[in-house]
Amino acid sequence: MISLKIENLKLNNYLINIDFSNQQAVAIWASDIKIVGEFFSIIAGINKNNNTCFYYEKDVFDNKEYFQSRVYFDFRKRYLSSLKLNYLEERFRQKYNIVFNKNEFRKVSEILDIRGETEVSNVCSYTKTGNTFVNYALTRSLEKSNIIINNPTINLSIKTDIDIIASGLTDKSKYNMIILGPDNLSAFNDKLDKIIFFSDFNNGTIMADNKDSLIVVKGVPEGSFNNENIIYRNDEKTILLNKLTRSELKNLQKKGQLEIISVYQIDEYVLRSDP
Amino acid sequence: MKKEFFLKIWHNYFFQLGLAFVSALFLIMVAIVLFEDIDLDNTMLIYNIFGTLTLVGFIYSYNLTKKHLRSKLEVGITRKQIYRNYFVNIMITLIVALFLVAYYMFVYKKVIKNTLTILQLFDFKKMLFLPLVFLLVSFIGFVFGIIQIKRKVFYLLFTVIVMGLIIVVIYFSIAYFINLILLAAVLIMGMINYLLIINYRIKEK
Repeated sequence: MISLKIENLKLNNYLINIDFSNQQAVAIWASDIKIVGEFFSIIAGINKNNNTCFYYEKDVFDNKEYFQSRVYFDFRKRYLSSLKLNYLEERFRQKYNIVFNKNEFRKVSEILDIRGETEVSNVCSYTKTGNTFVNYALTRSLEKSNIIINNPTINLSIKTDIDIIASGLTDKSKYNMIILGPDNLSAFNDKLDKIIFFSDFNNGTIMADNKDSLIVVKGVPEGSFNNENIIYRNDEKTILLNKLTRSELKNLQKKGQLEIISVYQIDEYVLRSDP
Repeated sequence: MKKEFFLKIWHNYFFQLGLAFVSALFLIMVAIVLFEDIDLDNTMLIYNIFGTLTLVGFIYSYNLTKKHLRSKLEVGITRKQIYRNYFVNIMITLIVALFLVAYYMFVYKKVIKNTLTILQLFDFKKMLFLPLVFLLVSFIGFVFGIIQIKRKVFYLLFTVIVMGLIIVVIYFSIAYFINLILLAAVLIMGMINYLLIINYRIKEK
């Protein structure tokens, strides 16, 4: 069932039409990272959308019902300055009327060893990795069914840490609607239902499934291609969703122009601009 | 278990507010008794209460919209809820301050000038002027935060406003029409703030 619907949203040069369904984990990818943040601010109901984004057919902008069910975090940012769980529980209850599950926070803290990434003086200061851990623990601790998370594995380098966070954020037994803006798409290998690419080429979006592949072509490919599938293009390469016919593929393969990759590998081929 | 219970009470807003309020009542009483002999200006404490309140209101409003607005929205509080909570907080603060001032006047009259009436003792035009200034300055702080004015400029403007107010309060008498103008400004600013917070596009940082 579709819970969040985006119809003809204009954002910079993009025209966006996407449906987000229940029990789905979706990632958004754009070559310009800033666009993902702006898009999330709109679909989270923080900024106006000119009547183009609907949560169960109601405009998401400042929609109380939607706000109660969702949380939007950018893991680059620092959200907690204290790790005192009783204090946090009271603060969330009194200031925001939000349930903070301190047992869940404690559990995640122990698994990721957050204390090891924290220096406690009069305030807590975390390493960059620690900040990502804390934000993840916070996300898990808030009883929200819909999550929108930007840069979920930012500043992480250890594979086990990345796996814990990627699995935790795509846990459909806990979350209903999961929308991610991965800084490292490969961390979510096989964990997503859909990947939506913001196409620089046709200023729209291209949707890929978990098992889809991409084609990386050197330079501008010869022959006629369906422009609707081109995700990224510069002077050196063109990346497109693999919807080519067999003969088209064979032609390209003969010329040695082509490389087929998983949708999760796109970050290895595109250096994304950092805001 | 006992410690947890104690912490829960200690972190409770109402408990903290109640404690601060009782402390204020006690300190006002002590101040009046101590100042009885030295014949201090009777409105000095009232200026202090509203001066402090104006400073806190201005900084609180500025910080709310400059620093905390986005994170509140991200965690799931709507703009309308944020503004309503802000407005309620400001009003509760004002009511508490007015109560403290009324208490001070009452005790002052009882302890020091029992022969005069409250109207003879205190200039009520100033008593109206000060809360209105608090509201106006707080609402200006709210706008400064929304337009993301820089911290240094903010404090500079704040200093100018405070200096101006001190000069007005000390050297000029406050006419009723000034209070009416202030009231109109407060109402207009309240509406402007609401429209700003509802329509303002929050930028990515």
